[in-house]
Amino acid sequence: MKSDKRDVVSELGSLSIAFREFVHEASGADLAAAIESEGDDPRSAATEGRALVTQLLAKRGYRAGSGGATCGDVKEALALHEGLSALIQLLRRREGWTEEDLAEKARVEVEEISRIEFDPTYTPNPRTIYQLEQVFRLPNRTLVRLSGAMKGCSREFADEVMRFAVNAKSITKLNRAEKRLLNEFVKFLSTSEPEKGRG
Amino acid sequence: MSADEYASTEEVVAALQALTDEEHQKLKLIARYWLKRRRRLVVQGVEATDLLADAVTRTLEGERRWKSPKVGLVRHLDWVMRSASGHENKKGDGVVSTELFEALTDATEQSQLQPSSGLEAQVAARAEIERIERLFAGDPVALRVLRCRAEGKAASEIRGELKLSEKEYETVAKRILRKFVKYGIMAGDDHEK
Repeated sequence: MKSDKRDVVSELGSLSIAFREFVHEASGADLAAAIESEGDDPRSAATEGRALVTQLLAKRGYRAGSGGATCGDVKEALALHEGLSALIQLLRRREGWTEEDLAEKARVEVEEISRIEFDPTYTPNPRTIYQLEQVFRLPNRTLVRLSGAMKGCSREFADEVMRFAVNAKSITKLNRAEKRLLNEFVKFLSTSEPEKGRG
Repeated sequence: MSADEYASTEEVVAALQALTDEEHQKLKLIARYWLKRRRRLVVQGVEATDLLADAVTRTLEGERRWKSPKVGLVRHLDWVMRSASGHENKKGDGVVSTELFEALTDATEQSQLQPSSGLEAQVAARAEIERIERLFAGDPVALRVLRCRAEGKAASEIRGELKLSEKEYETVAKRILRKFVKYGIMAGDDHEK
């Protein structure tokens, strides 16, 4: 160890850079294993990060996700996510499927189904949306507008989606009222015309 | 990319939106690391996400401009977090809360920001090095690899010097990574015990 005091400071600086380099260079698998080895959950670390970015961007009028800007109003964008999440859950439960069942039938990762249902910041990829429309035998592009991948969203549309999401209570079996709610909402999605601008 | 060497706000936003799970995980670990390096922040209730949020905000607002694509966004945010406490004269700029600002400025990391700034900083640097060394107690090979990297040696040089196969080096790198994770999540100075 060097005795010169300024060298001690430099030494720490170099050590710190080297230490962090092992993180920067780590593969996803090694990173996940290291996080798990210390009793932490790598998935929650990523989810928290996304939520933080979403929050910070939302304050500035941006929305997080890979689909680019859709509704200018972030609240509306989040409403769409809520709507998609609630709709997928209800449709899945209507069929009596688990997340794993749905993932298998739609040929997508079960993690993606889980994130669609529970992560309000998650933007599913277009293939998954298409697959889900096929599995649930929905008219084409019924889910696309909720996924955030399509431009043009009126305030009325977002309001309707939010009303649906709020009413879609989480119970193990759909009751008659929920079935009616679900059917009406699917009908609304498949018949309402996409808006070109804000209403 | 704009003609300017720095990323525009829109480019920063796009890059933030495109961060992968792996990059989010790295940022969280690095934020925890910098928080631990400023132990007084921990005492004052600042969390790793506060540091990261501050770095993202400063980048979005152009206070810390990102040299994209020369520097990856994760590395850029790492360096912003590192220097987050160097804002003594910018209180009230609305970027961070007053409480966080005061905590950050109060805990300025002298050893990193002002290398010639007196005995206290040097003592702190010495103590920090000793903490890292204690973290590696029982794994002298990993510590040697880390020290070699700190001297600027490439992986191939280190393998030659320490007579490690490629596989052995990869294993050591994983152990160092775990030490880094451990460093960030241990409460207080627990890792010294």
